[in-house]
Amino acid sequence: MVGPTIEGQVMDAEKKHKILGLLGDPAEAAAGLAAFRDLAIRMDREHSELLRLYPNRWVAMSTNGVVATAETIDDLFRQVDEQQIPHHEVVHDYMDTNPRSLIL
Amino acid sequence: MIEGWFDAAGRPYVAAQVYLPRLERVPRHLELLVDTGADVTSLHPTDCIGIPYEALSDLSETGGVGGVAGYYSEDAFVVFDDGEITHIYSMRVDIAVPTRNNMTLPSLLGQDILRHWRVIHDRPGNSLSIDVVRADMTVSS
Repeated sequence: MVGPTIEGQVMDAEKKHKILGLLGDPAEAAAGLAAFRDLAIRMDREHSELLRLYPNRWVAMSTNGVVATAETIDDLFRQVDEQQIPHHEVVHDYMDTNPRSLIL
Repeated sequence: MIEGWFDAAGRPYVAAQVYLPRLERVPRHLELLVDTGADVTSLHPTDCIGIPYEALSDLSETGGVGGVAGYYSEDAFVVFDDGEITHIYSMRVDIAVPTRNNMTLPSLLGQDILRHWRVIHDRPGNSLSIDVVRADMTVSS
């Protein structure tokens, strides 16, 4: 197996070593990020249905569908933790029936 | 190319991993709103579950259309992937002081990263494509 190619003019060797240690297997990290992106797109696609089912509630979704809903985000992740689902395997959003326009 | 997407309201997003090495070992996976008007990348409370706020310092005020808000500054590695290459930025990110009014705000991808990207924002074609011109470090994925 060929190892990852690493490039970068800015980071020193110590910092590169640190980030590679955190990143772990680059292919696995990339796959996890792609799965998260796909899940986020799925939640956006199902937004109108989730809004109908869970108005004014926080909703967490995994690849298995909705795994938790709650009035507060802390309660939402308490439920996610109780199911021992890693946070990076869920996406979450607030189903706001009266959303504000955002000017950021 | 990094492929972003548009949410139900049509806002442009990209997926990222954010490592806060001083605070935690596990990365956060975030949906970052591409905000060309934001100077810095910032995390809002919706993406900060479990962050030990008592360990944060370097508090400063940031101006926006909603007025002045408090943000901590923290070392981070911000990671994106385009299917072939992992692009990594070593930088400071802002972490918002939680308030009653910012709980549902999305986290923002600001010009500290966007200035290194060529972004094609194509709402009619439902396509958000990003060509990374520069990263602090790249790893083949």
